[in-house]
Amino acid sequence: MDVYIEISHVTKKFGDDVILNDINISMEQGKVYGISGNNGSGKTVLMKCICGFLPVTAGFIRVGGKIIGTEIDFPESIGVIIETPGFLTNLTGMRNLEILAGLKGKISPEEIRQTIRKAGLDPGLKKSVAKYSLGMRQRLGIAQAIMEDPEFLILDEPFNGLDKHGVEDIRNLLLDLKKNGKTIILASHNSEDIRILCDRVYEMDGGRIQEV
Amino acid sequence: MKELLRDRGFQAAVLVSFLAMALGFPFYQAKIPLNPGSFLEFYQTALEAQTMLFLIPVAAVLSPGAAYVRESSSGFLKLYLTRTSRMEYIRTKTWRIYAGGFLPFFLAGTGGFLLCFFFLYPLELKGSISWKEIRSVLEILLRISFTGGILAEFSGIFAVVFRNYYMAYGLPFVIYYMMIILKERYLPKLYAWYPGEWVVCQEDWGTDQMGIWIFFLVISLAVMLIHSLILYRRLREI
Repeated sequence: MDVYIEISHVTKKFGDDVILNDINISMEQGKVYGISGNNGSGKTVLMKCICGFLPVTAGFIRVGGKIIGTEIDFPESIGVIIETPGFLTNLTGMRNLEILAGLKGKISPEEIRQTIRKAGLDPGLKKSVAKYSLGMRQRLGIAQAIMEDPEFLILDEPFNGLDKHGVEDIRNLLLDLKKNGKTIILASHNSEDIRILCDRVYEMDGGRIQEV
Repeated sequence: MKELLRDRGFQAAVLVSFLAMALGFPFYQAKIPLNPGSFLEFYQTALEAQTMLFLIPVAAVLSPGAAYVRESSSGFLKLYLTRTSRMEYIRTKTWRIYAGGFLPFFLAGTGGFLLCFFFLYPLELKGSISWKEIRSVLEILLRISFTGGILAEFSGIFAVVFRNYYMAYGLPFVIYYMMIILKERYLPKLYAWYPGEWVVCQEDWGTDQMGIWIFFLVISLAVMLIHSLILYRRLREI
């Protein structure tokens, strides 16, 4: 299998605080990688660095053959949920996704509606995102992450706020994506999610990472 | 552009601009039949009225000046950026914010001009329209629109610097009135920085008043550049 993501000697510091300490991982295309760890272990910072949201202090991250931050700003063909998915709360879920989809212009409104349904929401819902429950926002976040059929997904706690059925729905959705050969990095506190979905699991602690 | 036109803040800005004109319109002077050229005189009076001067900074910042605050605090920015690039975001935002300050005045003003023409011109006594006068009032409208664009960029700059709605909406307003007070109270010769002068353009701005257009061009480019640089710096770490 081809290496899709290469994280080489990555260190990230905020001032004198070392958040990521010499991280080295290679990730293959079409596999699901789990990252677990306590709060403050550096999971989200690592994900933000892979996404291109934060520049690394040392080392490099290469995604799809291109170095993030020098050759490209953000990985091409990526779907992201980092922290709580953020939407414009005065607009409907459908309108939010239309705005985002309009940036690339790859998919039609009908395809957006289909993805929203796939995530377990009603695309015709007229209420604004401000009135959505946490679980509904999470489902909408997953819909925006997968709607353009990206090759690579970064999902930081995608099961947050979901009820039992929601967790089951999203798990099945992710299993489908895995079957379709998507590369997924998943961070979760829930070891069951990690066990069911992931091919490989890494544990983060104090800015260091090791395979479990 | 479609996004901008659908924005409620933008629509409110067009409405406020139109209201500013309507409130300054000299209805009390209208005596039928109207003298030739009255519709242009009335329109000019509406544009140069104190209500317009007062409401320019209000309408200019209603549009997407503070969009950065909304997008960054909600997290929408992350979803937006992964579908484009930092430079593309900066380019789009800078232009959209400028257009969001420029266009409400331009659209409301053009609408007002057409209304004056269709409703008042037929009531005038026969006479010829002077193209020079038409050009002159349209230049006033353009100058108001440029002022709006510049103030909107100020709003964008403060939104990025302070990441706060109140600063984004309020500071351009404060700066605008500071410039008015400064000229009217303390420095009467400082007409180049007096918003009222930007509208009427009665002082010495060089041959054919070209200076004021160069002034608008330079200030517009400067505020857009400053906005872009600050935004670029802010977007390095999200």
